[in-house]
Amino acid sequence: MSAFTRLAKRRMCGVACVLTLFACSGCAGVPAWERGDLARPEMALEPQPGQRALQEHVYSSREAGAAGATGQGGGCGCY
Amino acid sequence: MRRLLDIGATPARQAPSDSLCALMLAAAALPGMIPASAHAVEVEQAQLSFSHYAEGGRQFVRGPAVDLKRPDDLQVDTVRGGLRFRLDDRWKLGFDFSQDTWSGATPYISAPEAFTATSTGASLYVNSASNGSISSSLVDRRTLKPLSRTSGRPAERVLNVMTSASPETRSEGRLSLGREWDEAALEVSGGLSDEPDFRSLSLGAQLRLDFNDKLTSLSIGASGTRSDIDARLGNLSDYIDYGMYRDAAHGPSIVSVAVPGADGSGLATNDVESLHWRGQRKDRSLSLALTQVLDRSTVLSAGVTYARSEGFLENPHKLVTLAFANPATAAAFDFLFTPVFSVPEKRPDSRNQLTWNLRLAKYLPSIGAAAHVEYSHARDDWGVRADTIQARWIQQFGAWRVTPRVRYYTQTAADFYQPYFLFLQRYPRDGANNLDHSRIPLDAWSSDQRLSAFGAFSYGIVVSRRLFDDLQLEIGYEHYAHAGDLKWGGGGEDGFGDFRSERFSVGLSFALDGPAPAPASGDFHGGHDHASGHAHSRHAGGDAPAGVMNAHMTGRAGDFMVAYSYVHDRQKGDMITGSRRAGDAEVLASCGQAGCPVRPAGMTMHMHMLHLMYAPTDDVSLMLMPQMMSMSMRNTALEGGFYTALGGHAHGAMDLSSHTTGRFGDTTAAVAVRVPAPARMNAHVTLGVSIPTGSVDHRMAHHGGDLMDFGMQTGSGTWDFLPSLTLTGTDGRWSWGGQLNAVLRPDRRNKSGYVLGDRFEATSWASWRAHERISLSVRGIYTAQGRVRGALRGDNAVVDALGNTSYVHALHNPADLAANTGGRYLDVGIGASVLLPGREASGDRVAIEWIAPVSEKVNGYQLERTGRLSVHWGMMF
Repeated sequence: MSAFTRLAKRRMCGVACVLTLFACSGCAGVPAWERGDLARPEMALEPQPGQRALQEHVYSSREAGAAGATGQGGGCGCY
Repeated sequence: MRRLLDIGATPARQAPSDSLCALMLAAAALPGMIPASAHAVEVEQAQLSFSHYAEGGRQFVRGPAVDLKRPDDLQVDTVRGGLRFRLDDRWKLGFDFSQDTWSGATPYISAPEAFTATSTGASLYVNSASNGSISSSLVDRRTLKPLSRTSGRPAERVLNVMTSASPETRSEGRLSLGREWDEAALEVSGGLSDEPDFRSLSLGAQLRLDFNDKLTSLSIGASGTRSDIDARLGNLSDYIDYGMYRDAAHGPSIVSVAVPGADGSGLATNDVESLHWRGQRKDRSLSLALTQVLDRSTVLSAGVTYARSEGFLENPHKLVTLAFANPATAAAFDFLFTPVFSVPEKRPDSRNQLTWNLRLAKYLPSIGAAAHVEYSHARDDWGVRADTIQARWIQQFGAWRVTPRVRYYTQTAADFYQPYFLFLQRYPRDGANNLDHSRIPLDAWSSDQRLSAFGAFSYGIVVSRRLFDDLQLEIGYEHYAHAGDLKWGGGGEDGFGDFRSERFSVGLSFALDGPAPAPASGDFHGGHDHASGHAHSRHAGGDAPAGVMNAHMTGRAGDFMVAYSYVHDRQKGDMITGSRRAGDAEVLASCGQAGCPVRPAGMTMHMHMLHLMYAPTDDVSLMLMPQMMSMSMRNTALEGGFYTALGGHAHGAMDLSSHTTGRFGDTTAAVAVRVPAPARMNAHVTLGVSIPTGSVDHRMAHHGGDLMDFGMQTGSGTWDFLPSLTLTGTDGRWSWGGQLNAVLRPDRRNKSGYVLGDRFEATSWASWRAHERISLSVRGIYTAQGRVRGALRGDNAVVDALGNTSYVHALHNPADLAANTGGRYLDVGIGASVLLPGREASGDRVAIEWIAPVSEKVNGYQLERTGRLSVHWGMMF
């Protein structure tokens, strides 16, 4: 087993813990009539998708941490 | 009730009026009507944005080449557009496109100062060799520090060698289709990205499942991209050793391609040897994200993404310095002879990366703001560990929304990254004394600073304002600083790789499902039956074909219009003179004694233009029209042609197969004034000024830096005057119009030594409403285009017998000559336009027109025209 795989497994355990935490917090419940704030545009997980796309394109062409972004069909960005 | 349900299914759209917003939120509160409580509601919208990215602050070393100009910093201009709308309650469709054009210099290779060289007039280069010849630098025998060959002192400071590439344009389009169920949503998408040396096709799917009374959502995504790379490296070099990839049987391969150009002696041929690096790569990713509503104002999301890339992962435009200090150097010397080689980089054939991210969004109702905090950590089997933290504050002030943002990024270096590689051994050689790549004691190497250890800090602000109920303006700014010193925990790369960048963006978004515009009143529409065949517009001339500029005015004081135009123009085929085809011999003769090695074989132009129009009074409209352009030209060798190098700056054989350019073009500001007209007709005069925001100094990077021809520049370089007179009328289902317009250029010369010719155009059209929503049009166009005055200013100093120096442009192509510009043209256009559903009251429509050449009489020798496509989408508010 490579070091990479071992590390991945450890991280997966961390993710599982976060998921458990989520599941517990979800038990509290938020009635539908209290969800108005959650439905506001600025509460979208990505409230500015256009700006985000411009930023991510720059970051993915200047940083190595965004390899996943190439899966978005962004081309080379070889500048 | 049906209407209420529709509202309930799509609450809280962006930009509705406050009262409508309150109604939507109330509807959202009704149980069972929220599509996904863990997500704010998506908005159906059309959006268009322009952005400009500019780098600066990079180290530049001129060396002894005192007359060497600092290369322009990298700049990228981007236009993006998108359209998302619902097909029905369950299905939605999206289309996005983007086009970016970059030009300027980027790091090409890095090396210690002692391993570099330069000479008067030439760029800094790494003092390396190939093809069996050896270029030895020196390192200290004891410390292995690189030593200057002239002074013998340590010169270990790492320098970046920069190179200016030709401008390149990347275009990307993406389609997505979504389906929603009560507790799930699926979106599939496909995209194409195309740039001169890189084409990719991607497919993706994302599934969202809602649980726990929609307080919890699970998203599962998968995507795959296949890319074909065909990087043009240019002609053979005496300094770069491409041997490792030459004609490789497996994986990425560097091959010789026969292309049009000039051989080493300047003779035109279609068989110039140009190197292309070809290969394929595949990228796949899988992602899993869980989003949880924590309380009535807090959402938390956690996700993990696995990405695998394989194949051609090298950056084809980066080189690496390999230096071999020879320990067998005679003991009498206190240094070691160190042969240096410049080779393409070599990366592992695959990369596996895992990224974790955590996002928290919290709404603070007491102050009307939302806070977003994100953290992500990525690591891969190349040794890169990257951490990013970002915080945004979204504050609403009435119609304004202000979003300041900070971001910090840090990464460790890839295992195979070094600014240069120094080995203490004799260089491994084959039988011909070339570097034997199979015996280089490393599996992979790269000096691409994206793989170095560094940190980056950026901050920015986005200000958006609701202009009308359904139109939003967004202006963004970001400052970004990349530095080795910014790496978390220290140990980052030295300062040679540091740079900063700034990005400005302006965008408009239009909510398609916003409240319908109020019916116009007064002289124009008064809520009449739109099926009656009456002219559907409160702006006269609204039925004009897509290609007619300034065809109409806004209707009333206070009206605001936003329109987007796209124009695609093609030339392809034979050269013509006057109205007949011309052979190579006479085309060549037109180039005079200096000759031309190639002629154009094809040219394409894309233009994206934004029209903003505002009416301060009923009879006056003010207009502003920025535009973005990109052009590409393909050449073929002229039989018997030749290239004459001027000013001693010849670069051997030249690949002249194609070149591309693009960036922001000139911006037009204009005023339109209504003038008296006969009954049932409208007339207006437009007086415009073309502001020279475009560029007239695009150069051919591969060919000695000479200016590209007039048609490949994105601007005129001069302040131009644009008058026009437009007359329009309607009669039942018919409408018609005519326009006289001109481009007058009073300036004497632009900074590149010429002025484009004046232009006069007369056009008239008729359109017929074939259906309640659809109009068909036909028009004729006569254009008289003047010849360019002056000539392209060259960079080649030519000294005459009297010692006077002049700068002459070295001819590549007949299109470089002013005598081969202008002419008279007769064209015919056919078009169609569609009235947009829900926008009948303001007569908003999408129009398309194809213009085909009928006859022409050109000056000199020019490439045949094929046609022009225009698309126009106008919205009135």
